[in-house]
Amino acid sequence: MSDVPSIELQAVSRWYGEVLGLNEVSVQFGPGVTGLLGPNGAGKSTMLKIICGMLKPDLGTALVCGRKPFNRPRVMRRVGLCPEQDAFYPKASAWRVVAYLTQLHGFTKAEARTRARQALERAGLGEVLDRSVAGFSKGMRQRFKLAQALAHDPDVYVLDEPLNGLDPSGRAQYGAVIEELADEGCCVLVSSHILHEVDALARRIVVLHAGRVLAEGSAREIREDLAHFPLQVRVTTPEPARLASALADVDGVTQLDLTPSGLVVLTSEAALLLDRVAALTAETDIAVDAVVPLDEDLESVFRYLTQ
Amino acid sequence: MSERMPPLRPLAGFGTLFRWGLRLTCRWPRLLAIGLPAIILCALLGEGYVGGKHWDRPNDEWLDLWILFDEGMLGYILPLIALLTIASGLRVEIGRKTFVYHLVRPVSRTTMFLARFASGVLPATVLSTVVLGVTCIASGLDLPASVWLSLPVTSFVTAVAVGAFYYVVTTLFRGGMIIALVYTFVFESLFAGTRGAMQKLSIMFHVRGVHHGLTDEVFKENSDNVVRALDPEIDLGSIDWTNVSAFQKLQERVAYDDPMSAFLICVCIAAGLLVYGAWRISQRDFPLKD
Repeated sequence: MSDVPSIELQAVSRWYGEVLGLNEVSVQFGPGVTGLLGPNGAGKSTMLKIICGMLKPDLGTALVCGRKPFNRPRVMRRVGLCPEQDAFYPKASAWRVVAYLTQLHGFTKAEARTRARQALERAGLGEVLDRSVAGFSKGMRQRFKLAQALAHDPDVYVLDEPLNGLDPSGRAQYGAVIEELADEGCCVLVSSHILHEVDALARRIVVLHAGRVLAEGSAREIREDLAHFPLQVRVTTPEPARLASALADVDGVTQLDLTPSGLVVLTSEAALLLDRVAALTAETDIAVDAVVPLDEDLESVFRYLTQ
Repeated sequence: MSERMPPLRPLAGFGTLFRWGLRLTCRWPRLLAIGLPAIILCALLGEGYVGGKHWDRPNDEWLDLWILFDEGMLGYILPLIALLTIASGLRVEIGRKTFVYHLVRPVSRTTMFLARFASGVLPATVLSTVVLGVTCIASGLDLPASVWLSLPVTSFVTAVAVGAFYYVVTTLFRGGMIIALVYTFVFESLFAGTRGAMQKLSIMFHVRGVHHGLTDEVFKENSDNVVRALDPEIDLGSIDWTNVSAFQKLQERVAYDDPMSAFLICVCIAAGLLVYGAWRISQRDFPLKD
């Protein structure tokens, strides 16, 4: 059994009937924050549910701290899960629910209550301990889910889409807690389908798509890999045809499309393109209203990675 | 590090889960919604049916109460109370997806399954005892202590035996509530109305065995009609009533086992169902998707 908090998947596959949820995924997670990135249906939640022992892999092995998690409740002493779904007891207060769930870890009632209070305070719900979770906003529910994962002080955290519904200050506060956990040596796995969210939280990112790991490494490493791929840029101008002819000879430009919303340029050298556009606006009378990269969303990243 | 994952104690967390389940089951609005209609109905039956005019048999308050217990209470009211208080225990957690919080705790699925069953059995027993008690009071009969003492036993055995069936089918199957209702209103009646040993396929047959074993002597002492009804040797043709269908129906019944055997059969039925349910739950995946 592993002393260090760790998660390991060895050639794990999982089907839902004829649909493949995970396809021979082999990956390891150790101490620190790892971002699990992928669009909806990529297999993120399936992976997290296998790690938390809710699903059994059809093939391969999942290990949490060196043990298989499915139907092995004692492994769960070391795991804290923030589930994706909004699940709560309509009538019970946040504090009571967290205390109850903490008590299931073998703590006495008094100890569980103290831990529940501390966890809710740490998650930023100190002011609303006694309120029913049913009356919470989406952001407060996310914090509640974090609190119930924190209260028993695990060292493996599985956070499924934890930032959904949080406002900017909530995200910052949540992010700070995640950083603290990483500093304490915990293994924190954060899933998201939003690139910049994961980028801000995790030192390492694992990109999942269609049940497979497409890329893994630091955000910088993944970006560098992507730098070779062409980028789409929309330039909004009242004279798109004139601008198109001016940009046709720029190095790296491979395609120019005139669209109702502006000129869409496909380029492998975005920096050169931006320099040329800036020069044109200064040197000629071509007006440019906006330059917007169209490929910074995650779907484009996945498109590149799957090409 | 192994001390961070010592083996779990058997049934670790049972008490916490049981108390939480009890808390969810015993909400006043829920208890009132189940209990109040049952109490009112039984008070009316106890007061109106016992001693009322019955065209197919002689008027006899003791026989009326005996039949009311046998058919009304054990046939429908007590099973329905068990259904409403026990069946939804874990199904609600799964449906509401709060079960996800339990799956990541150091508590075995078997413990969760059993604890939530137990947390339904207690209120079902109390509620059923109250309902039976109200019926007895409303009947106006001077019942001896042995009958009063049999009420919680009958209620408990009903909750455990038929409650286990309801609990397992509703937890394991999406349409479990419908299966349970069909079982109560169709199959139980079918088994009860069948001649011969088929009657023993009914769970409530064995519950009735416990109930009758504990109470029949008192009813026999107070009513010759109960004696006749329970005597399979009596020649119905010698009785001068225009219609003896109720007696014929009673006499077609297979003799009940002695109360201890019936009790053990009920416990075995419940244990078998719960072991099967716990095994299925422990092997099952829980994607718990939105």
